[in-house]
Amino acid sequence: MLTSQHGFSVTEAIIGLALGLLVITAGIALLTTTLTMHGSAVQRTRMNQDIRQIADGLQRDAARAGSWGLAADVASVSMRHQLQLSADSGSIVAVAAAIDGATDTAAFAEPLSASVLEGRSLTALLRDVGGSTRRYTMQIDRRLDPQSLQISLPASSPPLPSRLIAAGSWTVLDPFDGMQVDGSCLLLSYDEDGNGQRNDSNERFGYRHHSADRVIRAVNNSASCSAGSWENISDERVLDVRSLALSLRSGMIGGATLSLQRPALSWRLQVRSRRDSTMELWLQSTVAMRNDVHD
Amino acid sequence: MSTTEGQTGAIALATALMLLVMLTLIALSAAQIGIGDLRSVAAEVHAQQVQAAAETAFARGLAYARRNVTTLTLSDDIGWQRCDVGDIAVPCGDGVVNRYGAQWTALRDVASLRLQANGIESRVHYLALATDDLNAAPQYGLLQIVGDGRGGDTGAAALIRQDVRVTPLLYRAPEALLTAPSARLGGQGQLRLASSQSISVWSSGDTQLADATHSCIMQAGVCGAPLSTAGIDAVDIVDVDGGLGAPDGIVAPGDVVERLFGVGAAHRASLRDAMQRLDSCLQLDSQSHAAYWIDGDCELPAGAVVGPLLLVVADGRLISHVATLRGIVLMLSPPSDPPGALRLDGRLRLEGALLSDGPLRVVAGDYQLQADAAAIDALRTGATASYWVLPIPGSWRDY
Repeated sequence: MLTSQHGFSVTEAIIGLALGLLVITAGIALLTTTLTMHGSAVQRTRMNQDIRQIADGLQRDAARAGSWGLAADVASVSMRHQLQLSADSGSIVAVAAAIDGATDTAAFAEPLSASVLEGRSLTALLRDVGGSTRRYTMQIDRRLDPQSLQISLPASSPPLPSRLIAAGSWTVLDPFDGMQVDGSCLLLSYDEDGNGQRNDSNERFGYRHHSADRVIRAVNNSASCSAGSWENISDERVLDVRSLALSLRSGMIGGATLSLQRPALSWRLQVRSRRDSTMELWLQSTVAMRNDVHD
Repeated sequence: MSTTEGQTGAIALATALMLLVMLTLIALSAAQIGIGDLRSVAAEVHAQQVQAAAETAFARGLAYARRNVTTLTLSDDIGWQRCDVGDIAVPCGDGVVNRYGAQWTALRDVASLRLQANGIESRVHYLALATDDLNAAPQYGLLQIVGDGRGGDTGAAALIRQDVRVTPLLYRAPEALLTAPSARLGGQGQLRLASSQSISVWSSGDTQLADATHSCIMQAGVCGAPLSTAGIDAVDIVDVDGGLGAPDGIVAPGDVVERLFGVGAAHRASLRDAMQRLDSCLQLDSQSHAAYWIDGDCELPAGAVVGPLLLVVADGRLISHVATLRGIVLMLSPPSDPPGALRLDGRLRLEGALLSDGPLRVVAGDYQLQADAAAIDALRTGATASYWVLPIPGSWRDY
């Protein structure tokens, strides 16, 4: 019976096994290399995506900084109303009067309600006798009625050169001005819900580098780099954030003599992989403030 | 009979099958990861593309508004439609909720500004505060520009909105026929005041009339008796010269740009942007009613009647053979070397006002500077006026 069996001889089996082993070893080596490369590519892609997501958020928020839902309403009311003042210093009553036959005299009605106006600053551009223009900033103490405000000029300010503020020459400063950049920490605010009032619990945004944990943290309810509920937005298992450098600068548009100031935020991010410290990425850019001051 | 009879290489087969299964699983897994990555990258790319499309649309919309603001806001026959409170479509809404009620009027998707490439669309919409009259043109003064990017396989969309103020470029009408830090006006000049006007020249320094140049008050279209002449300043010349003519108390504005346009020297770039750039003043004619800026000499077409217009001549001369120019001319850094700011090969008649930010010198030539309130009014109001389109700080939003 055994003579009818046709198995491998020992030599054949050894050669077969050796060849098989060789093929398997080569296959495993190829597989390992492929997996390693793939893993590396996945890691780099993940790093790229994470870092870009952080950068996109930072840039988007920086571009939106200072956005105020009532900016157009204030401009519209200002363009159609002049302010007649009761005095040129101290406590002043400012009465809005419509110009050019405009019928709407309720300058300080909704949406410019008392809660929006009171406590804010009213600025006006007025010409002195020499013809030069000067900015005067007053405090809005109270909205007396839909046509008038109780305002006060600081004692440190010179008296107003005129008791009439022309239409379009005054505005109410918005609550979302101001942006702080402190090396590796950025603080800003904007009117996310467009209701005209700053909600400190969800409309104060920030980004900062936490040097001990080497992560990027963000917040939406803090006006301080060291307080508030900052949370990691970079994955500490993936990204080793080595540095975040932020600087606010004034961009120049036009030549040296014909120029326009426009603030811009420059940022630079240095990130390494947690798994492979040789894998390092740098990302840097400059984003223009879209709600810059045109005065 | 044994079951192993006839079998050759069962182990090799099993090994090969195992390898095949393993490789298949790995390939599937890699493909799945790859597809996920591709989807993620595609979504990111599409989001960036529609954002860029929205930015492009906004920039085009702003540039178009700056060039065509009068036809855009004063014409009621170009498709403005009142927003409905239930309208959630862009621009009255954002696709989800209505954001602009019936107090706003929309000009949707301006066809001439639409761009399309690779499945991504870039559209421009405008919103303006409506008047009470449903059929009237939108109210001039406040405009919202909406950049709308959409498209791609993922159906991504992005919106950028910003409000702009539309205000007359000419902030203040000039008080005098000529305003300059100082002036020396020679040749055959006539400063022709209207009967309602009292100042022919306003300077913060000394103004001197020389040769046959003199000022007068127009009476029935004719220049009356001379007021000021060479060596004699009458009260119509307001300058600082130690007591000749009008008292020295009223100092002329230090910055004529600020006086005229309401913006200081730092904003000259935006002023330049707000005007039409000229390569040559020979392009000007009686239909030229805009605000123009030219760098270098401005040679007016011979025999032409030009304007009313607002003309800024930067670092150059005004050259005339025989021409009449209606409106306001502002000379920035005019040359002082002969023949001065004006080179007159023939007669120049300027009906309106002339201003300069530097000392103005005219050595020779035949020229008339004549009051024309109608020409100046036309620059401030109506369809021939020029406007600033100024973004309102705080009104930029993206969605």
